[in-house]
Amino acid sequence: MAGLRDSLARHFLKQAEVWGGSDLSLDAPGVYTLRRSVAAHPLRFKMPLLHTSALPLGQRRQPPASNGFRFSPVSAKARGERVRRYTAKNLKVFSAPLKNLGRLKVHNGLNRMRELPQERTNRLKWQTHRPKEPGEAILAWYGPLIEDAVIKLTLDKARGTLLVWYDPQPRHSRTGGLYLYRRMGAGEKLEWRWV
Amino acid sequence: MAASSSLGYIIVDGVEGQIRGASLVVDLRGIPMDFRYTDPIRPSRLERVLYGSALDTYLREELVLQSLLGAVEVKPQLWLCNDLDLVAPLKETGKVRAAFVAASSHAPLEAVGNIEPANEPNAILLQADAVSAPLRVAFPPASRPDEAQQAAGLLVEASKTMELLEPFTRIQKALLSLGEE
Repeated sequence: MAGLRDSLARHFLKQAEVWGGSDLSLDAPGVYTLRRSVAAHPLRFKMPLLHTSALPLGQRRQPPASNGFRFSPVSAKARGERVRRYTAKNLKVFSAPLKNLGRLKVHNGLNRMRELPQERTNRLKWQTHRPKEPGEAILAWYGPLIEDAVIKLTLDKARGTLLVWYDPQPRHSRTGGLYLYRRMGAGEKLEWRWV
Repeated sequence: MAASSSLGYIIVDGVEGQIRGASLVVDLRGIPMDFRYTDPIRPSRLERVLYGSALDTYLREELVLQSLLGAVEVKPQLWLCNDLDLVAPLKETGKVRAAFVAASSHAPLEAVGNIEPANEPNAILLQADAVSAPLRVAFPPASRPDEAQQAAGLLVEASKTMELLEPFTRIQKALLSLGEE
C-alpha cells in the first residue's frame, strides 16, 4: 500500500517522500586500483626421482619435496627373494668345457700342397756370374731350378718372384738358373735364358 | 717310412687367439712328400684362466707338435723350424734331429759350406750356397758337434737344388688356401 500511495503522490502531486536519518549504516566505499599483478606458477614439479631399489621394502614413503607426486605401486615395486641356506645336497656341479684342448685332429693335405708352385726370389745381387752380350741388361736371376723337371714357369710381376711347377717324378737332375734379360734398343724385349 | 734325403719343415702359428700347426716333408728338390696340418685351436676364456701362462707352451709344444710328429708318415733326416723356441721341444718331443733356420744380414762367408759361430748359444752362421747371405742355424741345447756338422752338410747339399727357406712360405700359402675353403 505504501508503495502505491507513493507512486500516486509522485504522479499527481509531484511530491516525493524523503527520508533522512543517521541510522543508515552504509559500508565505506571500496577503492580498487586498475593495476593488475600476474601470479606465475611453474609447471615443473619439484620432485626428486628415486630408483625403486632405493625404497625400503614395505616402507614406501613420499620424498619430502615430492609436491604431491606419488610413486605408482608398479614403479616402486622391489623384487627380491629370501636368502637361502645352501647345503651340499642342493648344490649342482657342472663340468668345464675343456675337452677340445686334449685332442687335436691332424689332416693330410699332400694333394693340395702338390698343386702349389715353388717360389724363387730374384737373387741377382748375390750372383757373381753374369753372362751377357753387348746391348743386354740382366734384370733377374732365379735359381736353383731343376731344369728338366720344370712343367710351368710364371713370373709374378707384382712381387718379382718366379713361380715354378715341377714334375714330381724323381728322374730329373739337371740343375741350373734362369736369367731374365732386357735387350736394349727398339722394342726392348725381355728374354729368358737358362745358364 | 724314412726318406733317403729329405727335410722336414714345421710351423706352429698363433694368430688372432688361435693356434694351428703344419708340417711339410720335401725331397731335396723341394717336392712335397708329406704335408699335415692341424685344426686351429681357440682356447676359451675359461681355459685361458685355468691353464694360465702354461697354456701357450702346452698347446704349442705338447699338443700341436706331438700331434703333427705323430701323424707324419715320411720321416725326414732333419726337421727345420723358424721359431727358436720350438727347436728344443722339437728334439725332445719327437726324438728327432732338429734345427732352427733363418736368413741373416751377415756378409757372405768365404766359401760355400763355411761355418762361423753366431752371437748366441748353439748357433752358427752357415754359407749354404753362393747366392745368398749365410743362414743363421741354431741347434737344441746339448747337441753334439757331429750332429751339427751333419745337419750343416745336409743343408748345403739341399741348397744346390732348392731354396732352403722357401717351404716355410709354401706352408703358409697352403694353410691360407685351406682356410678359404
